[in-house]
Amino acid sequence: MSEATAGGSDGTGDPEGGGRPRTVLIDDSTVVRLGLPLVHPELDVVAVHGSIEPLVAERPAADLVILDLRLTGAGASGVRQGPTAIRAIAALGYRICLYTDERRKLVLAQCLRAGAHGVVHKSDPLEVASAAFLAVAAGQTVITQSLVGVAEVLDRRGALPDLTARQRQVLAGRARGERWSDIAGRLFITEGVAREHMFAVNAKLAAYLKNGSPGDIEGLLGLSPGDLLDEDD
Amino acid sequence: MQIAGIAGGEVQPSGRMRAPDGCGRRPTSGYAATSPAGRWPSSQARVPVRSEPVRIGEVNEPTAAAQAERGIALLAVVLRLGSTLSMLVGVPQGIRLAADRTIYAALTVATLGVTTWAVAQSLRSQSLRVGRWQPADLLVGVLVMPVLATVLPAETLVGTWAAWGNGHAINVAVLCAGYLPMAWATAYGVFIGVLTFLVGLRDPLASVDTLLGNSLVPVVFTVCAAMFARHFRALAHRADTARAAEVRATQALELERYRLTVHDATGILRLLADDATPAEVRPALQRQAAAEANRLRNYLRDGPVAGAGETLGEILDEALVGFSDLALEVSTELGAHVRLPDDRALALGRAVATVLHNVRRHAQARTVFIHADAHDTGWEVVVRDDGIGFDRDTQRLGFGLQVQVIQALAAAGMTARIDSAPGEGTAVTIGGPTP
Repeated sequence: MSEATAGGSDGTGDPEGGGRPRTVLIDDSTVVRLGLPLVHPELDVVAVHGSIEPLVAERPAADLVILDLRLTGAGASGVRQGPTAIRAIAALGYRICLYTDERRKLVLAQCLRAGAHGVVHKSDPLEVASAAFLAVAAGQTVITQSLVGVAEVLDRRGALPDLTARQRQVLAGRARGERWSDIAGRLFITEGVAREHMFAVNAKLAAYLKNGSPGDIEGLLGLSPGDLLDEDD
Repeated sequence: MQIAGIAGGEVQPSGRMRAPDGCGRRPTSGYAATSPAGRWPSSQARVPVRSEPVRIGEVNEPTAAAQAERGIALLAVVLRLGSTLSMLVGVPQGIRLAADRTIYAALTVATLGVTTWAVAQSLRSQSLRVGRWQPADLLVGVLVMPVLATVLPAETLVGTWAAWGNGHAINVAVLCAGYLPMAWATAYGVFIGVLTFLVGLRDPLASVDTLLGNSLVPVVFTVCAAMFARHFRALAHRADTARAAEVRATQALELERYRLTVHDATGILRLLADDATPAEVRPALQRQAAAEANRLRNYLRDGPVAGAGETLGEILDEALVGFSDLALEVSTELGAHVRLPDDRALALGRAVATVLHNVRRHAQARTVFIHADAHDTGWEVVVRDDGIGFDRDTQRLGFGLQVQVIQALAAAGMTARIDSAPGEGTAVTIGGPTP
């Protein structure tokens, strides 16, 4: 099963070719479930659910799953959410972009470790969210500013040795809040190239978080032993 | 010891340091005792300086001029009492020798009376210049020698304490140098010298050389006393002038510190008072207002409390409290361990808070990035917003950025750079050496 087209897709979405990615939206907020397809016409929303269970049961063909990190807003109990939900969906081969206002670094790092491919905040402007959705559907890894800081910390402590010098320059600029245009101007590259460098950093970060030993990650991030393993819903 | 604070103390013509209202009282047990909790501190509040207070003297401490007058008065009293004691030693002999004992005794009593008046007044007022005894003393000083010359045998007029008039007159001349202008005092001393010579001429046992020598004594003593008094007072005046300048400098310094201290608080109050401030921002503002109230109260009561230094992480964590409405993106792990000395920690925390207050009030930012990093020789903190920015070439920095950020950080040995352009946000980069 292809990561980019999970659930027995016929590939008609072709997100990498610029088509509208087939998207499953999972959010416990009725407003989000109704509103997001309207404000993001670039997405082909094929299914909308309040929990992951219908997705797991039906396994529709989709290029992207937009997932709210917390799914208990309606008061339901026993609902899979957080890293548990991410692992369940990722196991089916879907690409997952978290749609959340969670900003805690540890929580977001745990989500990447669980298999998420991107994170975007609900408070982000539409264009930022749209770019993140499309990028994740196209196979990129998208992280938030909180995780940019995590990436810089991990790299400085030797966990991301594969980063190139250019990627480190872009990472340093983004960690300090520099705009793409400023970074591009400073490094004499285009904004597109700068973004590509950052995508590469994101992917390496996600890979490290996913594959690294919990003890190493906890040590590098200054966490207490067991913090990263405490992946409770 | 009381400390002249923002209201300061000033040198008064009366010769005492005037305390700012309330400063002369012993501090009460805590600020709340003089100002209800939650109220803005009254103007009576004492404002100690930061860190090591600049102590400029007791509020009720006499000025140097007053102390000089006191010293001159005490010296004069001692001289007069010594002279009077010598006189009293010779009085019994004088009464025996006097042709008219009544006049001799009356003159002695009159002299003692004026002396008592002068000593009492001088001790009470701590000055030779206060009171009305001076004319009487000058008059007695002029009269004693001629009168004694009329009642005592001529051969006792020079060189005996029975004729105590010369010694007393010299003493009067010396004392008048403490309250008359130098020229007048010198003239009086010369007059006493002439009298000494003329009266001495009646003594057949006294040679002219002796009389001339004796005549010079009051002149020289009076001039010396006048010079001493003038020099002593000039020194005191200079000391008072220097102290007044120190007070003014301290006031100016304290005013500057006070402006730094209340700058952020005024911004918070302004936003709280503004009906246009969004409701969702108010809880954060209220928390900051409470924190500022505590900080100001502690500052007014104790001044800044010196600690053992703080790490960059702790400083920034504290500075960011109350700015949750700004959507902060904080990445300080790389520099969080750097420990700064107290003065730098204080300045850095205040500077970052000031920048964030500015962002809240002016930037219209969606996100504020806080980043800290450390390298081999130093550390760096970046506070960047993605707001509207401003033109550095045409817009002057406000008090907060110019004074509380750039100047305050520079004074503490740190650097600050502000980059901004219209529509491109603002970045404040703060750096310093690794301790």
